[in-house]
Amino acid sequence: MIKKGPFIFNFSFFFILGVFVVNGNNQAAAETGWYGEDLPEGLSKGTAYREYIHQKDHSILVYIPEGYFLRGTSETRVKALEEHFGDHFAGETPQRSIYLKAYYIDKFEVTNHQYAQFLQVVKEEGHRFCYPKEPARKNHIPTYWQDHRLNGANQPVTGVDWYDAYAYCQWAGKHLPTEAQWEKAARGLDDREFPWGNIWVAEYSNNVESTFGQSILNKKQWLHLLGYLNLDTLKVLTKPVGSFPQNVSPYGAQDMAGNVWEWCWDSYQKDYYQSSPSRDPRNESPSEYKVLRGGCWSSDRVKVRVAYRNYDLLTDRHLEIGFRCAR
Amino acid sequence: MIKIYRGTFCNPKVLRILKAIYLASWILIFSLTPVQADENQPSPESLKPFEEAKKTGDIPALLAVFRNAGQANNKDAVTTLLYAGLSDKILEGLSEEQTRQVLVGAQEVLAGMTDPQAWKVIYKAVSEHTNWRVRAMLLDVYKPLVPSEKRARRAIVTAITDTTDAVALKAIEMAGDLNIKEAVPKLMRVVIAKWGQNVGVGVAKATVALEKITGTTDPAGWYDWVNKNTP
Repeated sequence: MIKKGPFIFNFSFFFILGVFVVNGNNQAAAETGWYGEDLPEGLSKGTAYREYIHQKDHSILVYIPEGYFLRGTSETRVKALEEHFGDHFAGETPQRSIYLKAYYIDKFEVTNHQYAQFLQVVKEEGHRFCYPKEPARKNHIPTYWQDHRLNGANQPVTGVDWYDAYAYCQWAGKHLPTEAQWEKAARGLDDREFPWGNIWVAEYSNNVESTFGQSILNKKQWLHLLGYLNLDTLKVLTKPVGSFPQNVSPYGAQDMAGNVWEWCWDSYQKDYYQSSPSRDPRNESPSEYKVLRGGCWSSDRVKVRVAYRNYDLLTDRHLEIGFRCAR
Repeated sequence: MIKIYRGTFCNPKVLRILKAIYLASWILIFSLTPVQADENQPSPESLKPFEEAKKTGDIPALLAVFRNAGQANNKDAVTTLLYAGLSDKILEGLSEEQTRQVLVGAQEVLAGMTDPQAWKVIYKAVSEHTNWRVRAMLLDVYKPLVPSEKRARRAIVTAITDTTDAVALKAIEMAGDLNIKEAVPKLMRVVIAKWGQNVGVGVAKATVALEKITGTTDPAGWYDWVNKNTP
């Protein structure tokens, strides 16, 4: 004869246990971040406050809450800049309030170590993460992959074109930031000039002044310094990411001024600010030129301003250009 | 009288045969149409001696293959050198120093060519070769010919806007140092870009190159120079 008592006890025990397990899993799926937001798949809270870990490429991300920020530069400021530096800053006007949905952005520029993982995947799996219209027979190995001045594991990857940056972000389950996302992440809500505030301090970032140890106060000085420069004699160009602790934005993103220019998603259009939407702008007009932001080791103080808009051909690979991803 | 077979005007058997003929004719057309071959893609036969020498790890042996191939002194020899010997397949995995040795060796062989058809291939390679190190090396091949050879000057001008800055910067410097007048309009385009002034090391170097050729760093002066020096 079968005793029913133990059977019913066992069944009830495992049923209740199962309910706990299922509830536990549901709670894991609905894990919340530092700001109480639901965390997307593949992202977890980091040990440091306001930081997140991305499982795929082990990058650290910071969160940018939804809301408005002030994009661009006022007309008055642009006039003052043009008087001193003789460049063109008109692309930064008009200054407007722009609304962006919440997003995450890499705390640092993508490093050579991270990019090496991507190259391994390309070697094994082919070009399945690449932009559909990338040039035929494209090789994703960066130009300076063998240059010991630039290929340190924690230095930002450089010598990559827009297609390389796009493919890396796709592989990592992220995307290139739009230029509005980039700017908000760098300056926050208070219209500041640099990630750390409004006062220029050369030693806070990797720029032409900190690289060469001299003040560059106008374009003539900058041209004279770099024009006659023998690049082969330079021992240091880019610095490992996070080398400048003061170079941090209000949201915790680092190195957004200097080190390497960073590719953005958008096509460049000088007068885009005149007509761009005020919510989540994203310039997708067909163009060979893509936006670059942030300045680099060879940039003077006006180019490392968070509002400065630069651009380059999307196929160009320069020792001054890298990227970071957003999600 | 027209006979109707289940809603068609044709016997189904005949229709099937017609369909088969139609399909077969398309297959025939596609099979006879020559595929546009990539003339710069090395054939397995041309790669073989380079691959075998590379396997030994002996760079002098690899360089000997370059010299042997170059002895033919014609278009095919140069094509083999550039697109088989200096292909990614051969250069990949070599150390920085080994790559440098191979490029210097290849440069010597290419510079020794005398066949006009071979030089056509050498000049074209500055814009067609996919490896930027090879494109940079080619600039050194053209360098001694600049005073006398228009095609050498033109090739250097082409390289000024190379997508890889290592090549472009080298071409910009050469244009200034060798006083290549044909480079002025392109150098101006490097500095004065589509939407205003460009930034970056390339711009600084192009400005210096323009100063060496035209004697001024003032864009208005460059425009004047072009007006006076363009026939």
